[in-house]
Amino acid sequence: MVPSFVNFARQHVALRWGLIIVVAWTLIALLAPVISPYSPTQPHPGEILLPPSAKYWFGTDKDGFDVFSRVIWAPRTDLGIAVTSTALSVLIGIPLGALAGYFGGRGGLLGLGSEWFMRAVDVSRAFPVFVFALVLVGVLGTSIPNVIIALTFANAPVFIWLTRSEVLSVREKPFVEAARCSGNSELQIAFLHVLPNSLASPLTQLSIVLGFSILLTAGLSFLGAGVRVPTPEWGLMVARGASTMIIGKWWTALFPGLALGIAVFGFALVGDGLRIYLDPRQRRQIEKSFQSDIENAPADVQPVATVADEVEASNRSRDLA
Amino acid sequence: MQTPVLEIEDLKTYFRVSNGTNKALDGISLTIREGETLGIVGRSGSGKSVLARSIMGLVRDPGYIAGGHIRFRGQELVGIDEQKLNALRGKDIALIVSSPRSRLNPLLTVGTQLENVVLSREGISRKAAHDRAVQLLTSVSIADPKRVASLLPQELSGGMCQRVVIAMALSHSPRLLLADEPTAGLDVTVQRQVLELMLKLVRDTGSALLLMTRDLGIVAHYCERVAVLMDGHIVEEQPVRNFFKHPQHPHSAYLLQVAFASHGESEVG
Repeated sequence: MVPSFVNFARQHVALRWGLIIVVAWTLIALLAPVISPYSPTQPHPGEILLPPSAKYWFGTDKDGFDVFSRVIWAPRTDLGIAVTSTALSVLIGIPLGALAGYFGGRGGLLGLGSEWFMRAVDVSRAFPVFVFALVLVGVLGTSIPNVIIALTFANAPVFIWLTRSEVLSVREKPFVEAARCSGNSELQIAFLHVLPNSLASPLTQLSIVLGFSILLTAGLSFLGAGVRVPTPEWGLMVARGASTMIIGKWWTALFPGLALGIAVFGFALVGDGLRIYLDPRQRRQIEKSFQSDIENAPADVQPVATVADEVEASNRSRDLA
Repeated sequence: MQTPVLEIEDLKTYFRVSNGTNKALDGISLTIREGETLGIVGRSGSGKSVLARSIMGLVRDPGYIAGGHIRFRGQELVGIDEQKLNALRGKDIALIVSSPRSRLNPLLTVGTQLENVVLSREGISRKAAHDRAVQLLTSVSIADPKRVASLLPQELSGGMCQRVVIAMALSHSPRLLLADEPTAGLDVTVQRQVLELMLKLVRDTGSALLLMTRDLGIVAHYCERVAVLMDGHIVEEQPVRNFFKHPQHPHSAYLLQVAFASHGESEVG
């Protein structure tokens, strides 16, 4: 599985670039203290709104912060919040979705309970996540844990729905009945046989939800419901930079905005690539087109793997000539 | 007189459908004793599979057992609670069906699945369970059991999968083996191997075999008694020998006629 995934990532351009972006941002976040030239939270008095220069690569903002250092430090906040809230959503959403799917539509107390639970989930989705987060922050105050709670609340239903729908189809498969025939208990069947066979689509969604969470984190901060100055965070930087952008100091908002866009784009590419990787029909197509690329390539740039391949390839080009 | 392994009395399994009730089984009575092989024949839709599922307690909404009794060695199975049934299923009563590959979990190796079945009953170590799994695979004439144990169901042929399923079903020497079209979809040579294997293991352990099939040739070769199922009723029950000579119900005569027409001369001779 792992080597075939590496091969697939090599062939699939979008997935390759997505992975590069995601890995790069993760490394930048981890190495921020080493890379960044200045402290992200220490203003430089008297050096406000300086344009990009050799000293301040991305310029400084109206508080005298070095924009480059803050862009480098921001993924710690953004990725940290996104990863934590997505992990929580998965840990909450997948087991709940599995139970709701496994016992749903069966009648009895459990069946009824899971139907009510799903309606409750639907209702929770009726609250726009921004409004919910604003209310939460209004009541509890702005803090990173509150942002995480709001995002988890927004994302968990995605995993509940996806897992439930997969489980609903997998639980009717013959091997589940066979497991029942050999005397397994309901919970054993649910978590040993049904759940592992239902994980493909929720896991594909993981990367997309991660990217979306980054965007939401930035969005909440932009609206003032997220983190506060001086925490380095892309959305907050864009929000504070926007006011100076209109007086021509474009660098304050452009660089964090670009960083945010690239990060979200990277996660979306990975999510899309994973979806294709897990869909055998689409994967076959990509692999086939890659194969034909090799065959159509001129002999001298051909990625030749073995002597046998080389002989075969030279034979083929001779045939063509 | 032996004690009956399975006694079915006036069993009614109904299904709620949009315009009333579908009486899949409408008053079935059967008895099968230790070491006996009973063939149940009938065309598609006659209720063979529903019978197997009723005995295993697998009938679920919208189906329900409307009446009658199923007694396994004197123990009533209709309305038994799930836990007591789980103690019987897979251990004392086992089911083998067609399309064996779909009966195996596609994410676990065949060996692991056999181990799990073994472990579910016996308090032994994983290692010992693995040895037992390999031994079970050997017992169903799989040539290279160690390698096969490490494969996924998708990597095995249909005949191999059926052997694995049989190994699973027989791992606890069930007193009653239900085989619902066990050879459908397998080619004739594999069919024969699978049936011989099942029969041998049934004879070795002295359990009873209830074989549901459309194929009268199989019944003629492998069963002692035969019951004909038609639209949820048993219309005839006879020793195999008499059945082929003197079918008593018009439907049996019809089935025989069709079977011999399609099987050609070789079957008659």
